[in-house]
This record gives sequence, C-alpha cells and structure tokens, in this order.
Amino acid sequence: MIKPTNKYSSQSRNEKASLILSYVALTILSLLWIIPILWVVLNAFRQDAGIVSKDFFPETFGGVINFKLLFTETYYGVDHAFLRWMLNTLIVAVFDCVFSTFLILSVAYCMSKLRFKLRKAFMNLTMIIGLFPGFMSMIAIYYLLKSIGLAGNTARDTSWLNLVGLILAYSAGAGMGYQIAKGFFDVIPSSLVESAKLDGCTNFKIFWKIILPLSKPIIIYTALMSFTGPWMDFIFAKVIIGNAPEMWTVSVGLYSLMFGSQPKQELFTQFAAGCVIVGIPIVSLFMALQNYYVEGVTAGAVKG
Amino acid sequence: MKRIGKTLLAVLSAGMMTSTLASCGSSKPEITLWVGEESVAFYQKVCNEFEKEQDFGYSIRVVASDAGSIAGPFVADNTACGDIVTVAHDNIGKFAQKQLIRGINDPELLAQIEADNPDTYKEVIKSVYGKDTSTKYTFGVPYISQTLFLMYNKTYISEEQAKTFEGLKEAVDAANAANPALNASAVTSKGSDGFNFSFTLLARNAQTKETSLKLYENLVKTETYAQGDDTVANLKWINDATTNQNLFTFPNSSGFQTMLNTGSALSVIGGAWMYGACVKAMGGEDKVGIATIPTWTLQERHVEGTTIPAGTVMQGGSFADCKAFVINGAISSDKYQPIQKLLKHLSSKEVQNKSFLEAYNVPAYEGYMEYIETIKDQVPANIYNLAKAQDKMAEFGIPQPFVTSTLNNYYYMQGADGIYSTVVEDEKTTDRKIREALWNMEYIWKWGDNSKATVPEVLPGSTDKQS
Amino acid sequence: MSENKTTETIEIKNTSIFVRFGKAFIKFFTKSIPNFFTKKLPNFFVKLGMGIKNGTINFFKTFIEGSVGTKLSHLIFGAGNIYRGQIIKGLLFLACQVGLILIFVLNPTVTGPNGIQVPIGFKALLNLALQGREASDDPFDPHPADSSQLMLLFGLLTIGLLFLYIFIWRLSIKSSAQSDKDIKEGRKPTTFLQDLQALIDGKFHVLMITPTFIAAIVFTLLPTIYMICIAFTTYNLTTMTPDEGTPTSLFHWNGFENFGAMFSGEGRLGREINARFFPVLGWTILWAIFATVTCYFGGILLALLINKKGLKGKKVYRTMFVLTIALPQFISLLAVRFLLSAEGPVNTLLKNLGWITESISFLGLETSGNNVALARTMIILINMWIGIPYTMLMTSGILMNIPTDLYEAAKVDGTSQLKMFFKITLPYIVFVTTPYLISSFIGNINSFNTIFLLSGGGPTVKDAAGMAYTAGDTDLLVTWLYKLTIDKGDYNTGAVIGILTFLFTSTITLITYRNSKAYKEEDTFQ
Repeated sequence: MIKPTNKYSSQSRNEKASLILSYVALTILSLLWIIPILWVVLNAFRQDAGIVSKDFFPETFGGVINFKLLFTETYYGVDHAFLRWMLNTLIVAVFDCVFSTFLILSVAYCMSKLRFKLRKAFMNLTMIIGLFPGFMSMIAIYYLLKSIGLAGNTARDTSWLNLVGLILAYSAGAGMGYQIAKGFFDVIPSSLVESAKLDGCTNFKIFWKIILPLSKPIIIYTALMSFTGPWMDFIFAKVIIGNAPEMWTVSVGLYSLMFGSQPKQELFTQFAAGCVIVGIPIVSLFMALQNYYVEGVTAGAVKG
Repeated sequence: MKRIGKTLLAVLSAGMMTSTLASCGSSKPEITLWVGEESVAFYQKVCNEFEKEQDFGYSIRVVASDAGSIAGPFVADNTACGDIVTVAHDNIGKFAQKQLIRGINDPELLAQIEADNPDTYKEVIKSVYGKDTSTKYTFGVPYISQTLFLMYNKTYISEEQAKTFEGLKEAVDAANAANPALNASAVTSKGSDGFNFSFTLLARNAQTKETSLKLYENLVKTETYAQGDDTVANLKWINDATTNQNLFTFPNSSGFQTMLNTGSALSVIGGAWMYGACVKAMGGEDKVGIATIPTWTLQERHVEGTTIPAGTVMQGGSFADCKAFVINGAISSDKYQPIQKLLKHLSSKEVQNKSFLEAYNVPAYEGYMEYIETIKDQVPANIYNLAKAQDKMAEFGIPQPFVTSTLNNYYYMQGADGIYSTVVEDEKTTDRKIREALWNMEYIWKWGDNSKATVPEVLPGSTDKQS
Repeated sequence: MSENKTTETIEIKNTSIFVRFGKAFIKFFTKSIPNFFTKKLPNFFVKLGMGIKNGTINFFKTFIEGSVGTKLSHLIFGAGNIYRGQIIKGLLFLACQVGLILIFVLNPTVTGPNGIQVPIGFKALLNLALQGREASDDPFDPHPADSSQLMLLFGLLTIGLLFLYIFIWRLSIKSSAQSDKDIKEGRKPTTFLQDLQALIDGKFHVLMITPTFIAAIVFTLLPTIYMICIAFTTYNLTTMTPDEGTPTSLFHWNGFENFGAMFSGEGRLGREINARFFPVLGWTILWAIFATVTCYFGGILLALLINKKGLKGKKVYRTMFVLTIALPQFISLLAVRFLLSAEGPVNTLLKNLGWITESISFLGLETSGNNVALARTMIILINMWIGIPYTMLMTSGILMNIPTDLYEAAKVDGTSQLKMFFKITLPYIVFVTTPYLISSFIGNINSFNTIFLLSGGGPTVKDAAGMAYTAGDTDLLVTWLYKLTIDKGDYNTGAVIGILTFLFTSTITLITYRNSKAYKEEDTFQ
C-alpha cells in the first residue's frame, strides 16, 4: 500500500515466475497423459507386425500395413470381421442414441417440470435400484431377451437379432439415468412453463416448442453419451451377443483379439490399429462437442 | 440437425436390412459346427463339399470357438451353442452327466470310432449319463490328438541341447553370458494352471517308463497317489530348476509370446495350437525347433530323503488328449441322424489326413504316423516334427481322466495349481514343505478341496520336522 | 440468487466436507436409524393401515354408489365405459382383461436353455416352488432337466402380470366411476379422442414416463428381484465337492443357508467368503475414498493450473487431458497394462537405465514377487489419469461462475492469493460440487472397468497351503461378484455378495443424500 509501484512490479515478476512454472507443470503432466496413448498410436504404425514391443519407439515404421491387415484379415472365422464389428457398433450406437435420448429427456422433463402422483416414488425407486450392482441383473436380462429370441442366437439368419436385443437392453436402462438432464431442466425457469400454460399451450407443446429448443446442450450431451456408450462397453455386449463373432461390437471384437480364447499377442499391432480406428471418430466427436459435454457434466455435478 | 438424423437413420436401416438379407441366403435349415478358429476355413470347405456330394438337406455353417474355454458357456446355456461342438475330451463326462449332450447311436459311426481310435481314446469318449452310473455310452468323436511338447528357439538352442534339461542349461548359460541383461530362462509354459505343470507331475523314469503317480486309476477317484518318492524328487528338481538355475519360469504378465520374442525365455512347453504363436514370437518358421519334452537327471540334492538313486533320468510327461466332436443335447431331433452322418465323414481318416495337410491338425486315429511318413515332403519340416513329437509324447502320456463331472476341474483349478506354483517358486523350500504340498494336492484331487484337511504330522519319508 | 449463495458459502466454509460427513455418519447411526424404527416404521404401518381401511371403504362405496355399469365393471373390465358409450375405451379395457386372463389360463410357453418349455401364467406361479422335472436317462432321446432359472423368472413375471391385472381393474372401475360422476354433474363423459388429447396435456407425464416405467420394471426391477431370490437358492453351476452331486439347471430354495455359510465358513465358498469378505470390503472402501479424493482435488488443481490468467494454449492442454475421457477405457487401460507388464516398455527402460535388474510387478500380475501396496498404489495413480480430467472439466465451468464480489472484498482486505484460494475458491467449489463428490464416491465403489482391465483383481491371495482364493488383493466387491457369477457360475454366492454390496452402498447413499442440499431442497429450487 505504501509503495504501490514496487509491489506491482514484484507481483508481476512473481506472476511471471508462476506462469512459467505453470507451463512447465502442464507440459510435463500433459506428456504423462498422452504417452500411453501415443504408444498405442506408434504401435499401430509399426512395420514388424507382431507382439507387444518392449521398446517405446518401434524400430521400424511401416505405414498402414497393420490397418490393411485389420480390414482384410479373417478373425474368428468371419471375413472382414473388423468392418462387420464397426458396422454393428455403429448400428447399435445410432439406435441406442435415438431411443435413449428420447427416453432420458422425456423422463427428465416430467420429473423436473410436472407434478403428479408417484413422482417421488418413481425417483426413489430409480435411485434404490441403481444401487444394486448391474452384473447380477445382467444374467436375468440375458434370459429375458433370450426367451423372446433376442439374445444368444448363433444361427446365420437369426444372429442379427442379438443386436436388436442389445439395443433394447441399452435403451431400456437409459431412462433411469435422467438425473443429469433433470438438473439441466431444473435451471430453466418454471415461469416460462407457467406463462405458456396461461396462453393455453398443452404440456406436449410446451415440451416440444419451448423446452426442447432451449435444451440444445443437454440434448447433445445426452446423445453424445448414449452414442459413445456402445463403443465403450464390452461386458454387456459380450454376454448378450455370445458366440456369434459376426455380430460382435467392436469392443468385444478387439478385446477378443488380445485376450480371446487363444494366445494372440502376435496381433498386438493390429489391435493397436483397431484402437486408433475406433478412437479417431469417438475422440473427434467428443472434441467437437466438448463444450456441451462440460455443460452437461457441470449441470449433473451441481444438481447431482 | 433433423435432416442429418433422418438421413442417418435411413442409411442405417438400409445397411441393417442389407446385412440381414446378405446373411440369410439359403432356405435350407442350418447345422452349426463349432471348431477351433484355425480350422474354420478348412472345415467349412469340407462341409460345403459334403453338402453338395451327399445332397445333404441341411446347410452347414462352421463357427470359430475354443475347445478349452467352451465348458463355461456350454454349461450355462447350451442352446446358445453350436449343434456340433468341439471339446477337449475331459469335458465329455461333465456334459454327459449334466445331460447336455446326446449319445451316439448311429451304428456306422460307432463302428468307425471303434475301428480307428487307440484304446486310450475309446475309453475317454465314453461316459455315464445323468444319474444312471451303471452304463457307459459313447459321446465323443475324436478327430484331433494333442500332447504337450517343446518348442524352442533355434537361435539359442541346438537340436542336441533340446533333448535334455542339462543341454538347455548349457544353452541358457551361454545366452546369459553373451547378454547378461537378457536374464533368460530356458523354458517357460503357457500359463500356470494344472495343465501346464503336468509335465513334472506326470514325469516317468526314462528307462522303465514307470511312475508312482496315480491319477484316478481304474477311474476311481480315491485311487490317486501323489506322494511317491519319485514325485517328491521331481518337485525338488523343478524347484531347483526354477529358483537356482534359470531353467524354468512361469510366464510373466507380458505372456509367453513376448518372453520368447524378447529372449527372456528360450523355449516353451505347449501344444500344437500354440505353434503359430511361437513362429510369430520367435520371428519365423526357421527359428522354431520342435522336440519332445526333455529329460532331466536327478542330482544328489534332489533325491535327498528319498529312495530314488541319484543319476536317475526322468522323462517329462504329458496328458495325451484328444479333441472330439460332441452333439449338443438341445438340437431338434430331425437333425440327430444327419449330424451323425456328417460326423462320420468329418472324423474319417481321409478328412483327418487332409486336415493335417491343410490345417496342420494332428490326427487322432491310431497309427497316423504311418500316413504322415508318406507325405513327409508335402508339409513343412516343422509340421512333420510336430506330429512326430506328439506321437512320441503319447508314449509318456495319459489321457486326462474324468470320474465324476467335476473331478477334472479339480485338477485344473480347484487350488492345486496355486499350491504347485507356490512350492515351485519357493526359494527356501524344504522336504517337508514339498511333501505337504503333494499331500494337499492329492487331497484336492480326491475330495475337491482341502478346506477340511489337516496335514498329518508324519508324512512318509519326510526328513525335516514339521514347521 | 447469487447473493443468497454467497452468504451460504461464507457460512459453510468453516466446516469441511469431511467433518460434515463424519457428523452425518454419526447422526445416521445415533439418530436416523433409531428414529426409523421408533417413528418412521410404526408411522408407515399406521399409514398403511389407514390406507387399506380407506381403500376398502372407498372400494365398497364406489361399488354401492356406482351405476349398473360401474358395478359390472368390477367383474368385466370396461363394462361401465361401454355402458356410458365410451366404446373404444371400454373395449380396450376388455381386451386387456381377456388378454391377461388368456395368458393366465392358457400358460403360453417359452423355449428356455436346453430347449425346455417354460410356461408363463398360473402354472408359473406353481413353478415358483422350484420343483422341476429331472432330466431323462435316455442319452439318445434326451430331455434335459427343467430350467429353474426360467421358472423363477417367469414366476416373478406372472406376479407382475397379476399386479398389472389388478392395476387395470382399478383403472377400469375408476374410469367408470368418473363417467358416472360426469353424468351426475351434468357433463358428457369424455370421448376417446378427448382421452387421447389429455395424454398430450393434463396426463402428459403418463405418455412420457410409461415407456421408461415399463422398461424399468421389466429390465431392471424384475432382474433385481430375481437376483435377490437367487441368494436364497442352490443355483450354482460348479459343485464344490464330488459328494455334492452333479449340478444341473434345476435348483431349489435353501433359505438362509448361503448367508449362514458366509458366517460359519463352511464349504469351499463359505470358507472363501469368510476369509475374504472383510478384506475385500476394506479395500473397496479404501479404494473409493482414495480414488474419489485424488481425482477430485487433482482435478481442481489442474483446473486452476489450466485456467490461470495469461496462460496461452489452454485449448491444446485441455485437449490432451480430455483424451483419456474420450477414449474407450478398454483401449486406454489395456494400453497402460501392456506398458507396465513385465517385459513392457517401462520395465525395459528402467532396466536399460540400470535402475533395476528384475522386472517390477507394477500391477501384481506375476506368479510371484508381487507387492500389494505397489499394485494398489499404481491402480489409484492410473485411476487419476482417467478421473482427473473429468473433475478438471467440471471445475473449469464452476470457476467461471464464482461471484467476483467475493474476491473484490478479499482483495480490499489485502488477503494473499493462497489464502484466497483456501478461503474462497476451494470452499465454493466443494460446496457446489458436493452432490458430484457423493455420486463419484458411489461410482468408485462400483468401479468395475479400472480393476478388471488393469489388474483383474491380482495379486492372487492364497491360503496357508497355497490354495488361491477367487478374490485377489485388488478385487473390489463388484469384480469379485463378476468373477463368482460370470466366470465361475457361483450364482447364489454372487447374489449374496450383491445384496451385501447393496446394503453397503445404500447405507452410504442414505447418509449422504439425506444430508445433501440437493435432496433437501429438491422442490424449493424451482
């Protein structure tokens, strides 16, 4: 206070030092963060197609040989298996995305903006059920789906039904995860709804014409989450699809390349190439929609 | 947004429909056949020919599966499995007792099985069915034989050295002297479960071919004995080989393939299904040598406290297994006879021979070596050696026995493997500890678990006091 | 609103979250639980009694006061509606009744595992006794044993259908009574079109919730109840000893035997649970605390670092960190697993540097030479790699929203930057994100992927004789559950563990949610 100029300059020197420190820390950290991922990418471009290497940098780079192999090889007796797996996952992801987003948003809206009997009961029920570990119910879900012919099919002309079962299983559980979207709707002022009601709008119209247009971030967040889900999950997919390799999703397929029934470490570079292929679209989608993701996460975090 | 969504949906439903349409081409009912991944292409070809020649009323689809890990899914839900499934023979008892598979009743197929196969196999493909323990029926159709043998890296190990563990010791010492950073072990295995440690427990005296080990002899579960002095000496030897001599190591978290690749292991004891993996790991077919499991000579320190004379030569043993087709119990009855007709063809000597030529599957029928000698020049030298090593190992092998549906399970994983690896890797082991371990293993083999067992204070031949 | 928050922030900053949680924890056991038994439970029964009483009175009242149609509706669904001219609605009710009754009477069958036909309907209720038919002894014409799994599942499903029947029955009567009321009060009964229109307005929630509600019941509630039931059966695909016979798809009720085995330690699995349950539970709690706290504060620090004033290239840094969120975990975690394996790049590098001669078992995956503490530390560290960016993203958003007047006031007082962080920034963030902290704690208890993909539960734990247990040193309750059920087929033991996991997580959730702002202010927020 006595020597403001001096203090200012020392502060700025301090700030400069701390800024440099921040750069150093961030650079080291971000290197730590990408090294494992970089390693996978490097291996995808390794020339000597084969097993896990003991060195970080491959001795020789071979361009796209591993990618070529990945797309042309027959795995588990399925021709162009990787392509099939990608296509399967895409189909499941798109349908899951559409159904789940619809279900989540509609439940979240009801819970947030409408008041009706059993509302609290429904919320409590979903919370309690969510506390049970999911694996146990997985077995029952498998038998349920199987009894209507939507799981564990192995014959050529029915195995695609497993994917339908998978879509059903993914979307059926989705509506229970409405909390984040509800957190978002809660922030939209109720006065908007009230005044629209006074104008004679139906609840449907309010939802469709007023709320949804305001909810772009949460729609995109929900869609992003449900679209990426099938690319990430493999245990549920493995159980429901079973031994129909032509219907596997990409995560089940890639996992089976490395940890399948037979030792297949020699396929590591192809596995790495597969990871890159799966990673690129998911990561870019994610990066493109990052802001919406942050908004969703924050909405979820603050409201719980 | 909306338009993109609609277009995407349209494209996808179109994609889904085409993939559906593409997948149901023929209208004939389907028979699914599950075989090992490496043989899918071969059997699909054979089946397609069979379909045409016989004017078969079913279309046959071959799907990749693994005989080793099929048991779990098959028991959990066999309707989600193929109509014909390949299993290791030791699963047959379990499946039959759980009534999950169908017996074979086609007289022609039965006659073929009876005529072609060695007695050991004929025994293990039979089982009782359900609760009725009086009659045995035939359930399995053997078509591939399997024993363990040694696959070694020729860069480090010569053909002569591969015959004995003493030779391997020479090789590994030379390798480590040349490159101390290698810290190599001479031999590793695929894993550490019961199958992979069988070679020490099943070892036999190389001259007399005798062993005191009994595993469910006459298929009675209590006729099991693991405490013989020769077994004790062999366990002391493997402990010594693992902890002091760089001779044996269990595979580490990188897996045996990486170990072979980096040179931290110079050879592996495994089966034919690992051959391709070994070629990739060692860097070429010319690098891979194939031999029977080597012999070892017991030293003074191994036979201490036993009646076995020092200098006794032991031959590593193996299970002599067969892979067999079984008929899924959940098939619709109209497929029952056609399936047996198909199986008769698939397990015929001709197809087994072709399978050796084209998919490198070692045949199961008796005297297959005769045929293999005749086509020696048509297959790579390694493949010939592989068949020969297996044939030789069969002399020192026993088929994995099963008495009740689960006994085989005990051998693999009901804890005996943990006991074995603990004792093998114990640097401060004692005679008592080894005998205790064998006592526990024997108990598990007999009774399924050792939770109610207390090791007796006095064990036969033990020299140390109880710790 | 912002002013409101500010005062609250100042208020809460003196009590840390841990103290609050501790207090809540003590309160839960000293007050809430006794309170539950002394007040809430009796209250509940009183309310239930009243409800039943009122319901019965109402029921008879409706019956007596109702028109002929309403009276008839008690027997034939929709009769009242048809009587009042609401033909379509009435027929719909009738169709439901006929359909359900047909299901109950005709007992349609579904083909289960092993090709067994299992009925739904009244027969399914009898099947709940789990007394199925044994398999045939003819190996050439086998019919396998009945499938108890499906008998149980369809039995439960049928009970659900019975509830549905009662629900529609009540709905039909109510609807008929409503029409009576409408007529009485001089209105016309609603037309079908009007009913449909109500669905997009007054009863919009019915339209919106029903799909999820049905899905939740069929795909979540039913399986959960099924799982709870399994804990009381002999359902087990591996027999423990040869003397226990051959397991088939037929299983039976065995009461509390499985829970008893857990305490007595009898049998192979009882022994295992007896020896391993508390160690696994202990590690699960330890893990959940460490994983939550490290990721949480790590994320806050990283956010502060990245959002520093004057720092350039924020976007680039952020992108690099966010990669671990965007990549599927089976890729990123498996990559780390390979990197850290015995012959992997990290061990090779350390060896080349001459720092080590033997490979380090980072994740406890070797047959010997594992170090539990190291494996656990590594897993927590790697989890930070996955989890920190998540908190970072979230906190970045919140940092922007901190009311600036708080800082202004502090600046006037001459508070140092560090002090400001501890007095303002941190308390604010913690306050705002408490719900997240709770849910991420629960999430970590059930964090399957990290453990499964990294260590698979290793290092293996062996008993004195060297026999391995199913649960390793880094196994959480969920991964143990997975191994028991999916890997081994010990479904009943798995179910017992599942129930115990539920009791554990629900206790924690109850304690925290009941005291969280989000719960208390759920309705006042609007």
